[in-house]
Amino acid sequence: MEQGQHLLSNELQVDNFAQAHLKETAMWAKLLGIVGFVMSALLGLFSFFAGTIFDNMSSRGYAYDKNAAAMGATTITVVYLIFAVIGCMVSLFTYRFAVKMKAALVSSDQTSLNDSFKNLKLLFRVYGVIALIYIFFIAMGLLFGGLGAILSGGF
Amino acid sequence: MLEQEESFLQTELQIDSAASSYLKDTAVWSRITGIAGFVLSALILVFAYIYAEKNARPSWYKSGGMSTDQLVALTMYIIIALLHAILSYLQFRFGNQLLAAIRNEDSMELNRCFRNIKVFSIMRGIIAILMVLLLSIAVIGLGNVAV
Repeated sequence: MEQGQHLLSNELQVDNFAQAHLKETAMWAKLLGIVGFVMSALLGLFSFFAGTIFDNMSSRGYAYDKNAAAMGATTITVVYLIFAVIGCMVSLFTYRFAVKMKAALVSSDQTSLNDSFKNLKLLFRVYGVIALIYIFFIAMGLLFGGLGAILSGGF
Repeated sequence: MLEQEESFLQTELQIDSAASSYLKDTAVWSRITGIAGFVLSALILVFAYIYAEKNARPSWYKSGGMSTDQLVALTMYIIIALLHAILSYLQFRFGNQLLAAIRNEDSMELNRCFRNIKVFSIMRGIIAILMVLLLSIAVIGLGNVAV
């Protein structure tokens, strides 16, 4: 009996209020996951047509150089494909978090709850890494842009 | 009585050691993302200011100020920066509250942090729906132009 009370007082419980918040979070997360999958698929699809679009642009005289247009098309294809893969990964973690959370709440399954939190951790880790990479690129851009301006006598 | 407690222990979901470890990691990354988000929002605002400065017409110009397109672009920049800042704030607060809840084993704080992530998800969901709507309108518009 005392041991039971000890367990009850020491472990954090997911009470009714927390369950209600998590249920709604899971619902929106599922929607976000599905929308993310669709967007990633569209981005991936678009990346393969970038070459055709650029070819058309160069043939209609919108681009000066055919080689530059071809290089631009390849770069856009690769960049968009990378974005699509990252988007797909993020959507997968979001969707898995939602599905596992819903299962955990419906059947009071501790393993599903832990799996759900594991996916949430992976999701936030990916967000964090993306944000840090983004800031790094911006910092590099500002640094080299500033250096370029100083060296060219812009300041 | 003991059986009742045991069954309660079995059915009630808990933040056990595994969940606690995942949530701690989540909180740390959430705080990092929140801080990075604040920096990005500030940068977007700086770019918006530079954009406005560059495109503002001199006062002696007949119509004065920016064109409608430029004003729309500037407003969009500011809205994006504000939304980004709100989302980053929610993420940062979620991280802080989650760490505090786990450290102090405070269920009230845990509820507050779960409410935060709920608001964060709702906001992101609404933004996603709006994006899909805008994309659909753009695709329909492009289709009409092509036809």
